[in-house]
Amino acid sequence: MLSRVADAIFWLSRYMERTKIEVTFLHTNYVAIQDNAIDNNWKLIIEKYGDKRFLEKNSKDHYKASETLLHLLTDKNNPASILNNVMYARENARSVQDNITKELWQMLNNFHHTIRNEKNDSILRNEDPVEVLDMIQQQCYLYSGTLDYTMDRGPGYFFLNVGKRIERTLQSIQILKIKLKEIHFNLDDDSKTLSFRYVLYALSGNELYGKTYRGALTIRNIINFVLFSPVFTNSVQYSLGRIRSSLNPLKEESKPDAFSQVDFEIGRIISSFVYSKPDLQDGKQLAEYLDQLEKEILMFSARFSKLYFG
Amino acid sequence: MKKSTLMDGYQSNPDVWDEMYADQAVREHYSSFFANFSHYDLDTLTLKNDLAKKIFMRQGITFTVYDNGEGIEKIFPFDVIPRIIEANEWTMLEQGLKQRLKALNIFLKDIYNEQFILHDKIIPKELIYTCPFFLEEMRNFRVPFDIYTHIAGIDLIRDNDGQYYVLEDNLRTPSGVSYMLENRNVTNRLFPDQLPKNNVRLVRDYPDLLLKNLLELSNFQTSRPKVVLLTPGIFNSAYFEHSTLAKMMGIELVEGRDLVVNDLKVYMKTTKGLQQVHVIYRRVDDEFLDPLVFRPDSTLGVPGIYWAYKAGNVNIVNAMGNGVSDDKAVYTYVPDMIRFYLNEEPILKNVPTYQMDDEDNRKYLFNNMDRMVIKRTNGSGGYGMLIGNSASEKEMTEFKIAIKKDPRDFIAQPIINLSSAPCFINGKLQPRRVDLRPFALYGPNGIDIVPGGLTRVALKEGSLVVNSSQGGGSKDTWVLNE
Repeated sequence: MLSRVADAIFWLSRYMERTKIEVTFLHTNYVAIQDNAIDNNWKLIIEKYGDKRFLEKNSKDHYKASETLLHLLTDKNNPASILNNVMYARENARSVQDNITKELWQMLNNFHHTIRNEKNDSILRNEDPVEVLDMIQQQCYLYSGTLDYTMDRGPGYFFLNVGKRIERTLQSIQILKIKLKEIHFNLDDDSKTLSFRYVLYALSGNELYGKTYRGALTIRNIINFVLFSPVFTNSVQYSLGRIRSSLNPLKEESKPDAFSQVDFEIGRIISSFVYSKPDLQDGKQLAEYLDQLEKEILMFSARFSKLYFG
Repeated sequence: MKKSTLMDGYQSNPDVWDEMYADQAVREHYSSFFANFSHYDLDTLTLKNDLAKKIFMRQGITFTVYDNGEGIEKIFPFDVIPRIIEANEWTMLEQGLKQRLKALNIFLKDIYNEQFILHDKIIPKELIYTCPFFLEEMRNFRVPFDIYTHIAGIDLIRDNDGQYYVLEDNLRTPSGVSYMLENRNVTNRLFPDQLPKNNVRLVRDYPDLLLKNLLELSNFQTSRPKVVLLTPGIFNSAYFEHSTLAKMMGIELVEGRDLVVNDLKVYMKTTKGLQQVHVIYRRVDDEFLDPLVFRPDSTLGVPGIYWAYKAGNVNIVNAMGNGVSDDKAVYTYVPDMIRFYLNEEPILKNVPTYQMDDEDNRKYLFNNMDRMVIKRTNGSGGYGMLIGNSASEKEMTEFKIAIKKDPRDFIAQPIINLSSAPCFINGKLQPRRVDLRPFALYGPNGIDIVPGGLTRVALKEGSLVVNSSQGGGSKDTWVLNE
C-alpha cells in the first residue's frame, strides 16, 4: 500500500473515532447538566475540545450549553469541531477513494453534507440539541457498520484499525483527565461520586461497571475500571492491547525493521502500564501519571507514522 | 386540469439540426423513447431532476471550489433527457474515428522519427517546428508498441444539415469518461426499465477495456505488471474522474510525490518500501511530468521519469509529445494525413479551417469576421476564442491586432451551428446545443470505442459553448442496438 494512502487512512480513522467518542461524551454531559446531576463543566470541556481564541474572547466561568455545543459541534472556526473532524475525515477519504469501499466513501460524504446543513445550528440554538447529537452518533454507528461490513481485510482495514485503537486509548485518557479536574483531583470526596460516574456513561461502560462492581460505586473503582478492565472495550488496558494486536496483520505490509520496532515499543508501554500501576491515593499524582501515559502513546503514534508513512 | 406534458411547446430552431425533432415530428430513433417518456408529466420530471442532483451530491460526484479558504462542493450540471444516436450512424462514426485515430498515431510516430510527411511536403516543416507542444525530447525514440494515442476523446459536432464534423482530437489527457459512466448510472436510477426497453448499448465495459490495454502495454517480462494512475491530486477539477477510474480498474492512484526514479526505473513508495511501476496512465500534462526536463517548477511530476521512459523501463500513457497533434493548425492536415498514411478518403470531415499564416486567409477572415470563429491554435477549454456573430467591435479589433502580430497562433473556422437536443430546463423541455465526445482506446490489439460518449450541452439559450468551465453541462448518451 502506498505510504501516503496508509497515512490518509490512518488519520481518517482517528478523526472518526475521535468524533464518535467526543460526541457521546458531549451527549451524556448535556443530559447530565439538564438533569442537574452535575455542575456546569462546559468550560473544562471547551478547554480540551474547543478553540483557545473562543475561550479568550468569551472569558467566563460558566458557558451555556447551546453556545458550547455550537462551538464544539458545528463551528467552522474551531479547528477541532466535529464539523471539521468530519471534513478532515472526508478529505482524507477523498484522497484514498480507490482504497476504501464506495459505500464507506458515500457514507462519509453524506455525513459531511448532513453535518454542514445549516439547520443544525438553529436546532442547537433554539430547539432540542439532542436531535443533532443523536444524528451525529447515528452517523458514527453507520460509519462503523459500513466499515465493518464492506471493507476487505487487507492492509487498508488494518491501518484503519491501528488509527482507531490509538485514538480510542487517547480519548479514554482525555475524558478521565477532564473528569478528574472537575472533582478537583479529590478522590475522597464522596459527594462527587455521582458526578464522576458520568465518565462511565460517556465511555459507554455504565452497565458493565454495574455488573463488575455490583453496586459498589466509588471514584477509585471507576478509575480502576476505566484504566484496567480487561473486558471493557474503552478501558485503557483493553485499547492498548488492541493497538498491539492490530499491528500484527501489518507485519506483511512493513519494511523489515518497522514492525519489530513498533511492536517492541507498544509492548514496552503495555508492560509498564500493567506492571507499574498508578498510585490511586492522590488525584494529582494520578493526573500526572495520565499525562505521562498520554505522552508515551503520542510518541508511539509519531514513531508509527514515521516508520510506515514517512 | 390536464397536466402539461413533455412535448408541449417544444420549439426547435428551423435553422438548426435537432437530434429529436424534424418536420414537426419526432425522429424515428427517438420514437420509442418518446412513447415511453410521454407519460411523465412535467412535475414528475422536475422531481427527477432534483433527484439527479441529490444522487450526484451524495455519491460525491462533485468538484470543490475554494472560496476564502472554504471548500464548496459543486456538481457538473446534468440534464436528465438522454441524447440518442441510431445504430447506423454510430457504425459510421466508429469507422471514422478509428480511421482518424490510426492516421494520427502514425503521424506522431512519423513526426518524431522519419518525418516522411514533412519530406513529402504534405505538412510544412515550419508548422511543426513552431508548435510549442512538439517535443524535441521525443525525437528518434520508439515508444512501446508504436502507440502514442492510447486514449482519445474526440469532439464531434453536427451542422445544420446533420453532417458530423470533427472539432478536436484531444490526444493528450482527455477527460469526461467518468461522467459518461456516472450519467448512465444516474439515468438507470431516474428512469427504471427505460434502457432495456430502448435497446441501448452498454458503456460499462470501458474500465475493463482500459485496464486490459494498460496491462498489455507493459513491455516487461512479468505476468503482473504494476499499473498506476498518476493524478495531479485532489485539487484538480478532474480528480473525481481519476479516483473513479483507478477504483473501477483496481489500480493504484498515485501522485507525483508517491513516485521516485532510481537507476532509470520508476518506483512507488509503499509501506513495504519501494515497488517498481511498469505502466503509468498519467493525467498530468507533459510540461509538468518531469521537472528535470520540462517545467522546473512543477511539483506534480516525477524527477527523472522522462529518462526512465526513454530507457524503456516504464510505459507512459498517453505518450509524451502528443500535443503537436492537438495544435489547431496541425488539425487542418488530418484529412491529408489519412490520405497520405492510409491511402483512404476520410470518413469524418474536418471543420473547414483557415490558417492565419496565409495572407489570403487573413483577408478573407477580416472581411467575414461576423460569420467566423477564431481560435488560438493551442488554446483549450473554450478559452481564448472569439465567436464572430456575438463579439463586440472592440473584441474584434483586439483579435485583429493579435492575429496580425502572431498569425501562427490563430486559426479561423466558419461558425458551425451545432445541433440541438431537448433539455429539461426551468421546468420545461427546451432545445440546447450539444456536441459529442466518444472515447477511443488504442491498445496493442487494436482500437476499441465504447458505444456512447459524453454529450456536452451549452445550457445557456443560444450559446454554442459547451465547455464545463464555461457553463456547459452534460447528458447521458444512448447508442441504440440495431
